[in-house]
Amino acid sequence: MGFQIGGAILDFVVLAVLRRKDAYGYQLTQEVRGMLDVSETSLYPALKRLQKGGLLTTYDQPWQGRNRRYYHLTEQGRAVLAQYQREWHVFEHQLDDLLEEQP
Amino acid sequence: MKTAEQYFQELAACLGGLTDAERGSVLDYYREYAAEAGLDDYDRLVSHFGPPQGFAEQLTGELAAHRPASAPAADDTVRTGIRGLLDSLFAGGSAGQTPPRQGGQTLEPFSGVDIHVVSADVRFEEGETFALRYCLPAREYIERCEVTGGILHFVTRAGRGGTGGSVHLHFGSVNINLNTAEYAVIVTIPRGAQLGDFSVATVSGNCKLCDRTVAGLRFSSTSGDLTLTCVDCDAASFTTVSGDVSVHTLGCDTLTAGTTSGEIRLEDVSANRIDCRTVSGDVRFDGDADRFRAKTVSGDCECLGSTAVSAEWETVSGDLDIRTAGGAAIAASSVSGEIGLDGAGMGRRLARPGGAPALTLRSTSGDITIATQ
Repeated sequence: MGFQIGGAILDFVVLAVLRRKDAYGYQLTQEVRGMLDVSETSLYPALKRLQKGGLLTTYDQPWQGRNRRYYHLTEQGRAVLAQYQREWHVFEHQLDDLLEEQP
Repeated sequence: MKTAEQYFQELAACLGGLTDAERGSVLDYYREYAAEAGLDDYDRLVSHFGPPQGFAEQLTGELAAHRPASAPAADDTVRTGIRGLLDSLFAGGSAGQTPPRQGGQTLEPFSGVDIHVVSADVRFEEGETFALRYCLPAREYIERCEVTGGILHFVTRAGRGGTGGSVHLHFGSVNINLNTAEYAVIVTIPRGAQLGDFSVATVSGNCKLCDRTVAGLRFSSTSGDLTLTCVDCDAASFTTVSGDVSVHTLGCDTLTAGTTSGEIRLEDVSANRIDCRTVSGDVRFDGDADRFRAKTVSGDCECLGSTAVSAEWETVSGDLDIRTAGGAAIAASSVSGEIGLDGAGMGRRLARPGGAPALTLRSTSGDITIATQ
């Protein structure tokens, strides 16, 4: 994913998924890959980056003899997501205008 | 069959550039991921993530690319990202994605090739004149492009910020596929041209050469694959880390191939001497050679070919599957693996006299299976 905006869009989607519910890594990957064509190695660095930025926290929950690590959206993460949404709505309107102009 | 744990051990060994804590975190994450996804043995993990070496390279690359110099300024990231996408859509990609670097030219005749590129594939084709054309990522710069002393020199280097890629976005009914450019350097050579030494080096680009006779052939890459079809040469040398080497119909005097995790597949290869070495890559040989030698750490070895003088196969934990002519002298030994000859168990050591060629097989823990014809 060398495209310059890949990181920001991926952050946006991860935060949006986690706004609905906490999720563990594999579950999160499946949900994100339903929207973005990201590689197996893209999500882990994104999660670490969001954690370092204080947008996510983690907690472990026992499951079938092992632990699942769940990712949880912090208040700071919710605030950033709201900012993402405002920016996205601007983009969405401009994209709609562009597509409507197509012959 | 190798286990999932072996995969993670190899992955850990390839993550030497990370701190212990970072490495532990990566392994914990992907162990959990593998358990959730039902990836419970080595082959399934390779099929899903790729070989450990390549997976580690990709992962460390992404970690380095996304590692913030300080705490991320999330608002700025959002704006930059969204505006980059807007710019790329509305202004022809000037902000989010610069267009690829393209060009081409007719060249003076040459007999040798010396190409060093980063991410572009390298291919050779027939044409009326000597020529070259290329499509490179915007951040891959041409450092040298000239013919001197009968040698074509084409050298590129990567600028800052990587070499580009592609992204596909699906939001509701909107499906956007950005940047589908194919990065390649294509060299055109007239049929019948007398060719000397060919040397190609890439970081991730693949290389293909078909229907040619050259004096020497050298290919090296980190993750690029090499494919040769119907080639004759005096000496061939191939080196990769995770790239595969696939050779179909090759005649040469000596062939040397070495990889870390890349596979080496030699089909219909005829040579006086062949030497293959890998760490975890598999080796497959079908053809004929006077002298053949293959050595792996964990890669499996399969031999369907014939040798006139000697063949040596050695592995630590990979399996050896050898099919040989009935009269060959066989010396096989394994520390903990099983040796089988035509379906019968032979214990840990087998010495069978016979005519040439001499076949020597050594294993530490992998099994050895021999079938005579």
